[in-house]
Amino acid sequence: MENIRKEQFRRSVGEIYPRLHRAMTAYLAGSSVDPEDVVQEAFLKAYKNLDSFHEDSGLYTWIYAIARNLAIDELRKRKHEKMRVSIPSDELNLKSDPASTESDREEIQILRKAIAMLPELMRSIVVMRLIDGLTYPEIAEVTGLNEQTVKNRMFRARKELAGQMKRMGVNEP
Amino acid sequence: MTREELEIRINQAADGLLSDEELVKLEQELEAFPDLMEDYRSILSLPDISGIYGSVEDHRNPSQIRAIREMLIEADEDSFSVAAIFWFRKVALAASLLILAASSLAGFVTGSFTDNSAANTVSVDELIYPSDQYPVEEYAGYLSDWPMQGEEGEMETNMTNTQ
Repeated sequence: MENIRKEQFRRSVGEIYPRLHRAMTAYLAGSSVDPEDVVQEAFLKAYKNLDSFHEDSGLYTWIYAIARNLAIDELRKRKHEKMRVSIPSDELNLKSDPASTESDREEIQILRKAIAMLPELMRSIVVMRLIDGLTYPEIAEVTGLNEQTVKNRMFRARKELAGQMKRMGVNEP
Repeated sequence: MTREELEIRINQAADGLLSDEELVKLEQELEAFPDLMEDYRSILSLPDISGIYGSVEDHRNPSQIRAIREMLIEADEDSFSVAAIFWFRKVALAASLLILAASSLAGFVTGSFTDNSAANTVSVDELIYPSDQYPVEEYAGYLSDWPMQGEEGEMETNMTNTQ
């Protein structure tokens, strides 16, 4: 039974990895923490603790919560490191998109920077909701907050993001 | 509506969950709260950020996925060897205790540990001083037997004295 679960988990790596990698890349943008390491470690930790996974919660949100906690630990360890002001272009991964113009790239760069400058919980919720497309109950599951609090934090995160954009000279009428 | 309820409605509007009529109603309500009206406008003017890190497929990395799967299999093997060593230690300890207990029990049952064992063993003295038959010892033996000879011996001695 345990072997079947483990086999299923190994098979699900292909499905979960790209989505989780994108989410962690967005969440950790601007920090020196490598999202690749966090994702790998999250899979390993989840695999070793597969017994504690209950079918009533989603596998993705469960691994997401593990990855987020690992990322928070890592960020705490490096909190004295100065946050990078600009996000390197290889992190942006925009070169591969021939359709994007210079101004598009610039706008995306600003948006990414604005998200990276949000406080941890707000950034986390923005990434989960607006980039990864998680629902409010799923975000509540990952963060351990109740749904109402998540919605409230989402409003504040959006407000903060809009303010950040304004300060960066974007979105002005 | 309270401020908190309005904030939730603004969030719903930003998620695209409100109909046009609901939006009109919300804007009417917000007129009583100018600061919230400002938040509402700035939030609704935020660009769509869902694609700023590319699509999920852009993050698909087959070699990395393969590496993670291999790492998980290795973790399984590692945990097997750790478990094997752990159980071997436990079993080895239990087995040695069992053997000790069994041999002790067997010793008591067969009587190997009863006290007559001393009788069958050769003492150290006997090994160092084997039973030498010196004349002195025979004499000593004779003397110790002497009173048991009875009156004959005594008589003989008396007789020699008188002679």
